Amino acid sequence: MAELGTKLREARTEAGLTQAQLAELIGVSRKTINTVENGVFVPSTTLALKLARALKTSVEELFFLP
Amino acid sequence: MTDRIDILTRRRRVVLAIYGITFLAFQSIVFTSLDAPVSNWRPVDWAKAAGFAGWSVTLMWILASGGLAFRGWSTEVRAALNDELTQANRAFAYRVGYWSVVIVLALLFVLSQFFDLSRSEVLRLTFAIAVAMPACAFAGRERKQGG
Repeated sequence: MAELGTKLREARTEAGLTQAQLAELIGVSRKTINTVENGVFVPSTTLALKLARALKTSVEELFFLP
Repeated sequence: MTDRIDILTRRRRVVLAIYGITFLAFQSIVFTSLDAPVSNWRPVDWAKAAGFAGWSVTLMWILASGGLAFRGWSTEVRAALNDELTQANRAFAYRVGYWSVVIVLALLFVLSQFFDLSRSEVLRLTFAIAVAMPACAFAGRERKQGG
């Protein structure tokens, strides 16, 4: 699987949200947010779009190919 | 809500690990008498077979849907308990189950060249591995991810 870089943690912190709050906003578990932030889990397009919408940014801002 | 999801996730992981490991451990201890032909079974053998079937179905049900523990919670909580990370972990668990069965069948084939294995033993062991390994793999994966 290709490595995927992420700035999710930075974007979430900037938005002033905890992992739990972001998880609740998009309807996933806190662990899912944690694993995406740590690069353990690569989210689907749908989840990436939900994250971007919740953080009022674009998918390209959140995820990138190193 | 997130705390509740964390608790339920942890509960599912622990239940699957304990049920899966004990299910495997009990194969050699409890169910050996089932090797006799069905016509010779005593009531206790039927009870053991029913327990084996019930235990298997429960394990598969908990892995597939969370079982009774997730009943009664709101749609949001149940959706979060079955989010895409959970689905990915479940897919991983089923893959582990598939390869476990392949390996066990290969080992049993080799063993059958040297020992007399009954059809019942081979089927029961393969079925037990197919049921228990995904449950244990799912629990292990969730634990590794901090759930």
